[in-house]
Amino acid sequence: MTANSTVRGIADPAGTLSDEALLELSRRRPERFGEIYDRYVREIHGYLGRRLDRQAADDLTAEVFLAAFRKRETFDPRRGTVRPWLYGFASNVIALHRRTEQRRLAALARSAGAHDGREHGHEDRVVTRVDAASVQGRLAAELGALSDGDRDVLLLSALGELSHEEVARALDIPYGTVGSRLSRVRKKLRAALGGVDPMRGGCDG
Amino acid sequence: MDDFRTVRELMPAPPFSPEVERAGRERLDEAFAWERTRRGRRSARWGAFGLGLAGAAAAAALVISQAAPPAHPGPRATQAQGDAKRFLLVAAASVAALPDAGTWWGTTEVRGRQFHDPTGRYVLHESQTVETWIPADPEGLTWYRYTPGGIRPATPADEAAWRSAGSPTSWTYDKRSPEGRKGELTARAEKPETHSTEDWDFRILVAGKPLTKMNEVPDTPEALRAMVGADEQVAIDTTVRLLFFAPVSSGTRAAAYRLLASLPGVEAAGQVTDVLGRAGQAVEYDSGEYTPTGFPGPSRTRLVIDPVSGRPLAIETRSAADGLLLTYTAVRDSRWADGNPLQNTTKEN
Repeated sequence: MTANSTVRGIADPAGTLSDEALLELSRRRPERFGEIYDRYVREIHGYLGRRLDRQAADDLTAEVFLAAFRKRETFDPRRGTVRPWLYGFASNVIALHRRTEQRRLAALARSAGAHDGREHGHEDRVVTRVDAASVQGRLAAELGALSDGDRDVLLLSALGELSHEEVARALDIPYGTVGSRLSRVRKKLRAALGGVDPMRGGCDG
Repeated sequence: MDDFRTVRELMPAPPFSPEVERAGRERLDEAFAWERTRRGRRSARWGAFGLGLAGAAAAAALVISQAAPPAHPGPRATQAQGDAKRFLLVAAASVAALPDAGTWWGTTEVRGRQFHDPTGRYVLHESQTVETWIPADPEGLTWYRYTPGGIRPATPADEAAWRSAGSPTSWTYDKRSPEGRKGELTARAEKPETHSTEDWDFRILVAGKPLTKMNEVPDTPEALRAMVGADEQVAIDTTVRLLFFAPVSSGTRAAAYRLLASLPGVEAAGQVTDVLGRAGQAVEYDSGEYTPTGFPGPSRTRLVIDPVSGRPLAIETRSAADGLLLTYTAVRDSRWADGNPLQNTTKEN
């Protein structure tokens, strides 16, 4: 009933509605937005949890979807898909919690670098792998020192696994800016890690 | 992308519990429910808006056919009117000096109406207090707290008539009364209610067009007139709405007073006491917006202003025939602030 000509491919071959079609339907039938939640809640919770902490992710994930729901009229399928659009709202929520993010990065830097045997939060303990510790500590410190805009671009790419185009969409910045920020940041990270190839940080994965 | 992998390993995803998933889904479900009621109200409000204009046109036609309604002040010289409305210019100067920095525009209003009981023997008064916080940020939500005040006899004389009728606490209207009551009413006040919603009211309905930013509203009477349109009645109603309710600058409020002073349809009514018993200066006009939908006779809308502080006090619409206070909004307090006290009642951050 609300199929909009701008939404191509209303259904995928398996017969389920595309994210974009669901969003279009939700303009008239708000409850259809619940299916967007069901599809992406785990992923968005994971992204918030990686960047902030578990408690913040538990508290804020619903905020991301509520904000997106209220702004669903502004979604323009010609400008991209629903997934990077949702990451845009997640980025806005994180921008309101920069101090939590900085605390977390500082804790990661400490726990990874110090080996002092102190009990940290369980999240912090996870990363205390002996071989990788010093590299990860420096990485965390470097992430904390990045500008907010640079960190957003890096982490949407690395954690959210968004393409340049999708990062541009999520942060509402030009495509070219994503590429230039990303190459600058990756250069900085490599330099800060003192020539250590982060790939060989000693992690088993 | 191996440095990306190192970053991913540095920052692992936490576990995701079914309780968190469910709680989030419930919050969304609440938002869906709100959305449906909001839509219902929006279409109702649009409907009332249209009907109000039609009703006003009918009222204006009646005024012409009857020459002048009884409560209407007699014709005066334009010069005398200009002098009598000079307090609006004083109010403009006062309001222009009020601070308007802040991120929230908060108002506390008493809204109410008077109407006859179903037998027509006495007059009842229903009221509620409404606290509203509108964000300067056009993307933000507006917060409301409604505190119903219940229904009671309007005056001591009405109370005496109500007692001799057996002190009823509910009333049933078999058909819609002239003042718009129908069905069953009860005297008891309902529970207060707080909610937030999108601020469609001002940003969509002001001047009948979308305003993305209230700071785009002009602050000179001439530019304001150009924005609110050529039709004088619509121009007056929209200007009053901006002056009383909207999150605009003190400069815009001053321009609104000056514009009202310049419009011939706005007539001075002298020193009055408003519905809350506060002294002020008044002007009167024929409103399209504040006449109850379907009210059969002509009505007159009065603005009560405190020229010293520049603050608008009340909008009162009375039946021209018998002076019954059909509807009113009295502003207890209005101010710009950096916080919104209603928001603190829920979890945030």
